[in-house]
Amino acid sequence: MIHDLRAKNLILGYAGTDIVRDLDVVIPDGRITVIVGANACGKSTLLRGLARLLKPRGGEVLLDGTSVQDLRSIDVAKVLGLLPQSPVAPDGITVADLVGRGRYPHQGWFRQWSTEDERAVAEALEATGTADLADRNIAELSGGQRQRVWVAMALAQDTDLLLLDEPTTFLDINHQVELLDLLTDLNRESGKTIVIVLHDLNLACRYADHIIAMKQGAILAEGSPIDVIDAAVVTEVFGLECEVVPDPVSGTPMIVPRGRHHAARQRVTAAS
Amino acid sequence: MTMLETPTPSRETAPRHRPGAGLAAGLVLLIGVLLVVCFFSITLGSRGVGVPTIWKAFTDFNPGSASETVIREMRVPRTLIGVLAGAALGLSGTILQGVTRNPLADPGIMGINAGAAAFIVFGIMILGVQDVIGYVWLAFAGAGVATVVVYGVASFGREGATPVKLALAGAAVTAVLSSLTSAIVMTNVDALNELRFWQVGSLAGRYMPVFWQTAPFIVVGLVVAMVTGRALNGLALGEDLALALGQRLRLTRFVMFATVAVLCGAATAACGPIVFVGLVVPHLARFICGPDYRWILPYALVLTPIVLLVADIIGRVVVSPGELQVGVVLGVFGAPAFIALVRYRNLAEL
Repeated sequence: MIHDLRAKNLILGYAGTDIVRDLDVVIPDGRITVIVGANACGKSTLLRGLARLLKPRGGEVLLDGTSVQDLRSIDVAKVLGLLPQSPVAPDGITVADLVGRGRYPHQGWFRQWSTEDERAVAEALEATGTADLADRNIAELSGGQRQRVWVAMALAQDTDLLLLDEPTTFLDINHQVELLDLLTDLNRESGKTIVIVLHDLNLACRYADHIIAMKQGAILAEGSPIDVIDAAVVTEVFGLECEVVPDPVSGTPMIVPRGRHHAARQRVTAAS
Repeated sequence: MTMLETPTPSRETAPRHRPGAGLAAGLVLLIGVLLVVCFFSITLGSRGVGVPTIWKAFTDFNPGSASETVIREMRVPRTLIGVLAGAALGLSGTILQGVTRNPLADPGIMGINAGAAAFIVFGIMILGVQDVIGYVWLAFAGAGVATVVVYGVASFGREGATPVKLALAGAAVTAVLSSLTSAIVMTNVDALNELRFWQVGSLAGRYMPVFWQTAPFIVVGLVVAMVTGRALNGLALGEDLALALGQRLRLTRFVMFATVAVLCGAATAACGPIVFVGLVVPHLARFICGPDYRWILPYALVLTPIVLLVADIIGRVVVSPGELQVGVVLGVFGAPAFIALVRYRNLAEL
């Protein structure tokens, strides 16, 4: 399935303040796009705008050529899913029931729970390795398990585009990598277009097919991480003095912050 | 965690364990309980009556018989109003708690009680209204006006009527209306006397016309309320996810608040501000059913009339031949029950 998600002259903001200013972007179909930037640069706002959670103050978000504001919510929700930054689970809900709630856009007044829903939920549980947690209460789970369950809920929605807002927050490094591996599996196997807002620049560079670096509500650089991310861009985006070296595992750019206290110039020079 | 190479297509298409059957059986049982309670509501009281008298009151009515008159004119209307008002309060409490995600939300939060009380004292003072039906319409109008004002004030701004803005607007409107009401009853003894009785909340003295005037609104409200389960389930995941799942948040909220206003307005018009059941019974229903509103709603629909009628019967029996108003009984018995429920299970997260 080929979808086209793009923004044109997009202006987004809250209560009188523009946060995303006159932004144009095209989300590459069937790829993993990662949005990075300093705090408050507008990356989460952009994601919310793309998922039509935020009404544009100007410009538009186009899904397959039509402004998302003109499409029925339920039709958008069949194509485009979003996992917000800190979703809340109702008290006492089981994993299977929570994942089942992702089926909302596929149900209707007269079409309640179907075998198709059952299959989508089972697959989502399976894909995220949460099938054996199905009857557990969400509150009993660890942070990493819970995050996988939320991803499972987004998967059960069965959309070709999946947007995730900082899905690795609160996870330790191991679970961060597991989650990003899982999203990569989903992208490679089912061709889902995935857009992730991430804080960790090194993981962003490793997992992104396409990286978007934002600063003050605008896109500063975008493209393949290898082509786009260098010390100058990182300094510009984050205001951080650093060196960029190839990641020893993936060869993608790896950012080594300079800081003020730990420079060991001599040793490095001596070693080389 | 081992990541699977390929998502194996539906290893388990067999239906997972679902609690549906047990809950359905429980609901049928509760309907039976409600019918039994209705029976006692008609038979018990300062004048006890038997089944033959009830039968006779409807098949072969003798206007000279005091017992038969009591049944036709008082007990049956009182029971019917109790069932409808209870259902209305239970469902509106459930919806309000769900849509505002506030476990302490009750009709008071939308200014409904304050609006109804204010209109009743205005009506008594300015229009000289003196009969029960007059109070019904005044209360209904007051509840409606208060809700519209609260909703209108809360709707300013881009986000629309968010739960927080509604709670604030409700508190503000309640404060204004309550002080106006106080100002009037300070100077008008008639209004004070009427308001004193109305404000307790009671099923006594509500005759058949009160039932017929409020029933259509409540029935329509109940029908709409019963189909909000799916939307409430979505809202329970937070606004962002509800939107991401394709809900039309503004429309959903509007429909829900309008339903609550109609249900609470009509119930309040029929019995006065009956507190507590609308707050407590949804928690009881949630306690039984878990977080799925498609079950919580029918349970609240049946449980609330049971609680309301039982309280009304207790009020009739304990101080016989006198009566305690149902509002008083609910306060006395309901508060400890609510505390027990809160202590037994944490109600904080909605």
